[in-house]
Amino acid sequence: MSVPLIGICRHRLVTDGQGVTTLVAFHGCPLHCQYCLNAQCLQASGVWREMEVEDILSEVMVDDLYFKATNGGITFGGGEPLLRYETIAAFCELCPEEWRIYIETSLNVEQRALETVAPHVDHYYIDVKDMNADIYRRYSGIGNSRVVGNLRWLSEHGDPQRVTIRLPHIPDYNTQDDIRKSQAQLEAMGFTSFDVFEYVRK
Amino acid sequence: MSRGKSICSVLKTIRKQVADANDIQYEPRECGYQGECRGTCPACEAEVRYLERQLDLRRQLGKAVAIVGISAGLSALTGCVTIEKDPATIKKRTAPFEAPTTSQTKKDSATCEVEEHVLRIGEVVVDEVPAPDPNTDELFGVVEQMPAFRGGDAALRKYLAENTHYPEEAKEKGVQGRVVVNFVVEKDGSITDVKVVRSIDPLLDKEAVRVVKTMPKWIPGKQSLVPVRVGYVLPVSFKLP
Repeated sequence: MSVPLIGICRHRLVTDGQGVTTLVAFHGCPLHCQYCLNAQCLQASGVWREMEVEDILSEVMVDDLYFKATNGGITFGGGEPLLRYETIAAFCELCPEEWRIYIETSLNVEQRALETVAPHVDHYYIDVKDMNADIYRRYSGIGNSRVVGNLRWLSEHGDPQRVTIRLPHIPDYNTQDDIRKSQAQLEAMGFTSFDVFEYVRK
Repeated sequence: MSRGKSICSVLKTIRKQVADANDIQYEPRECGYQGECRGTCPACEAEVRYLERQLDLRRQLGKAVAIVGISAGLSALTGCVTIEKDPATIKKRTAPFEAPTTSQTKKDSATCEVEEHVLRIGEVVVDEVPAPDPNTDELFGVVEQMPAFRGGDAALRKYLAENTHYPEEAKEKGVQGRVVVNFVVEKDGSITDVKVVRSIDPLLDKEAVRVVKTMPKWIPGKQSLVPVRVGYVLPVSFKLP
């Protein structure tokens, strides 16, 4: 089954993971965020290519040597990559075992998606927006109960060391105090690595 | 130094480290190109393919090759990464994982242009791909018109089913699974550079490589109507009755 992508970007040096990585970015997202970095993921015209799993692997295989030499690999992003969890799992079963798999996600997906990819993922970058449900809904258009549920599942079933929680300052939506509250809540869940950063106004 | 040139420089260092670790004679070519580059080019790609061929040769001779983690200290290689501390933000990183952050700025006060666009985690930037030079030996991943087995996917499956022989020893050992093979479909449709990228068992790997190597010529892949070399991944399944 082919899936829509918004891009495949090579040679990302310590941008999306360790070593040399290639970003495989999927079209489609359950969220509608004002400061979305890849807004084309929600536009019908934003589809770059439709590809089968084997095609994606063929496309990224040219950098096999770099991935292995640097302990790098593939970062799945988007859009929301976990909407394509079956594709990701199928890819991971085909690709060389030495490749590291990174995922950049909002976790606002069914738990089944997370459970399916979890055996393959080396590191998660989770953009939680804000843990306050009202702020989250105001900014993204939907609630964050699935995010919280998936974070709990991950803290119970995964290794917190393999998770980087991204806590953005969202201009006009949250404050530094909100970010501190989110972080405290996440620390109570067992997460230890945080990346606090600024969303860029468009 | 631009981002593209900086990437090129790091990739060159990785190639050199892999070559040195495996006693492969290799000196990266000096690049005289002054314009903006994407971090790689047909000349750089050719150097990677050369190294891969040399590594394959060593494997075929039964020598151990060292690739995994050879250049794992990549952050030390980049030299272009500095961390800008924003006093208005909180930053706590207690995990040993060296995750990059969006407040990392790829710049080097001496060599990097400060106005260079900084890639953020997950940010997609797709470069337009110009029509290839008909004489290029560059290896492509996915092209507008992918190479195809004559007769299509159904014919390919039939060919593999009819021509793959289950090694007796593997049958006796009860080994089964899917061997993933990568190969190049050349501009004339011939199959070269066949290698296993996901192994199950040496016996099954060998048979998968054999059956792929002996396939008839494919219809070559094309980019902007120009035949080009295309890498192709094909799973070959072995299932016991």
